[in-house]
Amino acid sequence: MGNSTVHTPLRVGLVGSGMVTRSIHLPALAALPDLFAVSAIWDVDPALAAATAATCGARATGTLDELLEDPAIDVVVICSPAAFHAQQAVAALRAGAKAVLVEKPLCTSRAEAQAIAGVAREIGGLVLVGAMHLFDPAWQFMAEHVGKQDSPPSLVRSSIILPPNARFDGWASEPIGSPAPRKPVQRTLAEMIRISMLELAIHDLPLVRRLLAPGAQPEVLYARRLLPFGYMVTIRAGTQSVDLHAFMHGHWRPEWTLTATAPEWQATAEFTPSFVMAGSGSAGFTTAQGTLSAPPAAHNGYAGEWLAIAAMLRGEQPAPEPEEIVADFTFALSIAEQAAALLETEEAQ
Amino acid sequence: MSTINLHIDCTTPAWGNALAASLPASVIRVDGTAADVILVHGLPDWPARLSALIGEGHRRFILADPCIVPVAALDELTALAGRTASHVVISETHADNPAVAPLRDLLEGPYSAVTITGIGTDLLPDLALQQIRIARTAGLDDMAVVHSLATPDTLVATLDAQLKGAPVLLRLTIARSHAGLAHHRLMAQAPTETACIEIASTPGARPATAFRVTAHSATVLPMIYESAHRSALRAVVADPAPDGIRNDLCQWAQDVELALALSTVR
Repeated sequence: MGNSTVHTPLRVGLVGSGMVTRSIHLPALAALPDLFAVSAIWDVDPALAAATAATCGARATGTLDELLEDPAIDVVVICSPAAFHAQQAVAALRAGAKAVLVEKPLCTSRAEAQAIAGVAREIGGLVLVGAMHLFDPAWQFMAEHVGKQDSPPSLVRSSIILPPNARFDGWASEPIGSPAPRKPVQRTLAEMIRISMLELAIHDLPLVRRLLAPGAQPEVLYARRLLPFGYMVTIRAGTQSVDLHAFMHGHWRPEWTLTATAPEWQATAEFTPSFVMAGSGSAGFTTAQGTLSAPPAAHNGYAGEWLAIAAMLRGEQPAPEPEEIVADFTFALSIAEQAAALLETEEAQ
Repeated sequence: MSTINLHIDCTTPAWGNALAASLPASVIRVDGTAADVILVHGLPDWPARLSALIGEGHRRFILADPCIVPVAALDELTALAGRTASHVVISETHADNPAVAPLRDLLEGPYSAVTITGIGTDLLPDLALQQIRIARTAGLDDMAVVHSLATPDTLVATLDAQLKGAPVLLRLTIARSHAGLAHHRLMAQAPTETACIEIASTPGARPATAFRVTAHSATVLPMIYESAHRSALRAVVADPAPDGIRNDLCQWAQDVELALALSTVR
């Protein structure tokens, strides 16, 4: 007779009830009822928190502390603006959360990243960043085959070509209540490219880092912002070259690819757009002899990261070391800072 | 129907023979002396062969996929062709694929960026030249280097260019690799439109695939199962006695200089 273990669903507390919570995490968690239950939501807008909580049978807490100090909550998800990530992640760890999932970017500075990692090491808590492509089966196929090769790729290219988020958000969810309109903010080109790196390129920068030789330091040689929204960035990392490209247009066709090419092979992944639960990307590994391919899997990286959290907390999968989380963040931050500095120099001339 | 007497230079691979055989009613294979037009394959000694043929009195050429050669040899040949009023048509597998011109004609813009990504086993300068020439046929001109990162096996370069009379950034990304089918892919990005063409690096009739996307529709261009070289040969057949002198070498030489500048490893 088999011995099956029935796990009680892990209880989840969500900090921030904006678009990412509504469109990504609530649907992803709803699809994993045996593993997770949304227990509590907090937002600076109490009405929004209450309205969101009502949609998923959770309670809205009056304060952030009330959510973090709830002993019944196992996993805390930080979906607030990046300026608050470090403080909230540290607080969640110290309050005893078994796992803290921080939406990207992890934080805003190297010091904050080290602080989060320090507390995670001290307490032994699990910290994960919501870089969902790391958990996408397409990337995992790509990484597996690249990892078997004798040498790293000579060229890595991340290309993110998308319609505006609203198109896919409209298929993933619907607005709850009447969110306050966002005031337009004037930003310099340098600020815009920095934001581009930390909010768009960041989806794939952890993957790019893993395709580079260990310890490779990125050197941004060229950066240009594309209008209305996008970028071209050229990076040298030792003997490897990186091409970062993104463009947000106004029509419907997405194309999101990551390609790693070496003299004898090429690995590619094509991802599905953000927000929608359209399954994983597809991937291929090509040599002169032919192509191995991985068709789309049923679950994408959003489900992948939640499945990974459950497996990590059950001890079935190793958790990322805090140093890895810091390394991913500082890699992205370095690129963002260098790209912004190049544009600042150009603007000053 | 007009016909031409075609001599295929001895260094042209078998595809040249097949090319002529695919136009049995309009192309007559002849020895060199009786030729109206000579098909020359662009192997490394092509300037010397072309010069010799001009010296023999021939004046009309189709030069197929010329590889990059030293500038001095090019300058001499260009001058010779000019002095002798020789008609040199360059036919390139990628740039002259018959699907490129129809895509160019569909472009509206203005475009924010044009990217060309490619993979192949040719030397980096030749791969860069292929992309520059594709860009030119697609309607880009006034190309000037903004930045280039070249290694022996890769190129990531950005150029300022003009497309449909408006400035555009041109991004060339190349990796030398034996993986899969060598090809180049051009994608033009505008706020309301994307156009794309992917061209295989074979001299045969493998069709390019091309599409254009706008807000509410997508147009897939018809697949044309004809190589650049057959298309060039038919154009020559259709215009057996051209009025002007066409010498593609001048523009080609400028593009070679650009390709060499981009692919210099620093």
